Amino acid sequence: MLSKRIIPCLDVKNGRVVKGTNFIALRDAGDPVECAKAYNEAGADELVFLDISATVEGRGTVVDMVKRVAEQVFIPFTVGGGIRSLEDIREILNAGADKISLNSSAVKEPDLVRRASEKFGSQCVVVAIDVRERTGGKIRIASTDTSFSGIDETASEADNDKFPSGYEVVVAGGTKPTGLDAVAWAKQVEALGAGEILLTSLDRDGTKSGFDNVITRAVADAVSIPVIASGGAGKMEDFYDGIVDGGADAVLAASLFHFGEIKIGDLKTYLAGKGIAVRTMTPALQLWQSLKKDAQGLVPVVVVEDGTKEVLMVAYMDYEALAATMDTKIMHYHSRSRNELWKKGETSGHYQHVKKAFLDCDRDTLLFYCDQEGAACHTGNHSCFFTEIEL
Amino acid sequence: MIAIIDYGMGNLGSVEKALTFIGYDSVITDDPKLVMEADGVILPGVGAIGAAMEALKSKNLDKVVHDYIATGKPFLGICLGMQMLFDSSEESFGGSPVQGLSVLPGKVVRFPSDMGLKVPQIGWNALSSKNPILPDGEYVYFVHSYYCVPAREEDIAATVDYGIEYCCSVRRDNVLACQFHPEKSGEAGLAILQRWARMTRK
Repeated sequence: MLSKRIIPCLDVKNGRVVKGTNFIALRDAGDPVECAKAYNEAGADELVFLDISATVEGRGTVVDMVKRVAEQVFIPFTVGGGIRSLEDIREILNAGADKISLNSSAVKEPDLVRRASEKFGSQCVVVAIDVRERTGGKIRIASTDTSFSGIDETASEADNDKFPSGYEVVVAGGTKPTGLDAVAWAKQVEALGAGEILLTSLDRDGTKSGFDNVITRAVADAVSIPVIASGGAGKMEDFYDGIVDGGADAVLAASLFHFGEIKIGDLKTYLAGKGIAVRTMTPALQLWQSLKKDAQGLVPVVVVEDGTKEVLMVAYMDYEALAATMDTKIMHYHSRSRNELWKKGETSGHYQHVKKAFLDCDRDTLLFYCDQEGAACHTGNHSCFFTEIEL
Repeated sequence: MIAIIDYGMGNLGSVEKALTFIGYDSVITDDPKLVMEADGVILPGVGAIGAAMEALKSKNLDKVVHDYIATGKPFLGICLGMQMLFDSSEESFGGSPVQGLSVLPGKVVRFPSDMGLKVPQIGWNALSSKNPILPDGEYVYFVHSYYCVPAREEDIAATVDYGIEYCCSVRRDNVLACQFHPEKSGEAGLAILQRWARMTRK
């Protein structure tokens, strides 16, 4: 079953993450690569980078950031903010982003959505739609000091029939109403070829009062492409409500995750407990993700006999070997000479039964205590370390 | 050396980066000689199958794919690179269905529109597999609107449930193909790539 996606959003300014990831200690919390890696290990299903650089120079750093992230992190990521042309899109996709997101440039030039999806495929075109609820014929807009308290005095009750959904699309961080109805615009961008909609309620953004599930549901029901709910999540229930009441296919949050107020792993456990399909990782995969691998992608393993505490051997594991070992409690390795999974004892009968295991402080070596059947060494010696060196 | 076939469409960089990350050299190329000499070949792809087939044919790479597969060396198709291996796709191109490479018998069809499914399927879904290359129950990343229906049951390596249970990976002799993106499926995907890539060193 397709799982619901949990997506952290990272704001990037001049190539640096602002409000960096604080949920674990990073050497450099402003480094997009480090943040992306940390979220990958934490179980994020996808990442969104939103470039909020105000200058051309600042924007120029985005391509380099995308390249560096793409070399190290192998989950999908979207880049948005300041993308205005097919050339901008090409540059970011070629650098390694999986998707780009268009917001005000789509409102200004809807045909860009069509051209982008025809050129690069719908799958990489996300349209970000920021909305505000209209009340009493008026729309609350953010004043330029972003106090989110302004009222658009030019809007009037007479305009209400232009907004059957009751929500208006806004741009420029909520400072400019567009005259577009939220649901009508969502349907329009779908028809133009958008592959996904990232729907943000600017009324709720930052309030921690929950997603606006009314408009999320209205948009999700109106289009057949996936909808990502954003803006307002403050507690785990909010994510559940966004998925169930809002009908969202994915849920997005920023500072809630960055500051560790909610951990992605805990959120997934919570959602799974309430019957929502989420991507879970096996304990072996979780452990493997957190290990430092050598240049061959392997991790060395020290094997000690449980009873005698004698060091028996050193071998290497890949993910497959680790998973098989944790699964069967019989030691499996990756044979570097045969380049394959090696169940120790398969031919000799000299199996190693796992008793307990430890992790090195640098997370780059594993230690297993085992009961050894017969000899550990292929020479017939009990331990591989039978040749003493004269010192 | 692994050759990633470049037919001028889609972002091939992520496959290359993933191979580099797991310690395998690769080259993105449309040179038939490099493809034929490679120890392993990947046919990637995103976008429309009609345009992709045209691009492949315009560079004579359709024939190269057949010739390479006939050598018996490891071949991996990803996403559109899986769909193109079949006889035909109902995804229209200029008003008519698209003819594929016919490496494997079968067709490519669109997700049904009457089941309330979001199309494209975007996101992580869990594999049902008996193939050791593709661990059963592991979540991998999908982005697609069409899926493959192999004519031979025995070619199916894994299936996945998206309202309907469908084939998301095939394996026959030296040909492995998957509808999902191993290069975008985190460590689980990298491990799948690694298991495949290892065969190129034998």
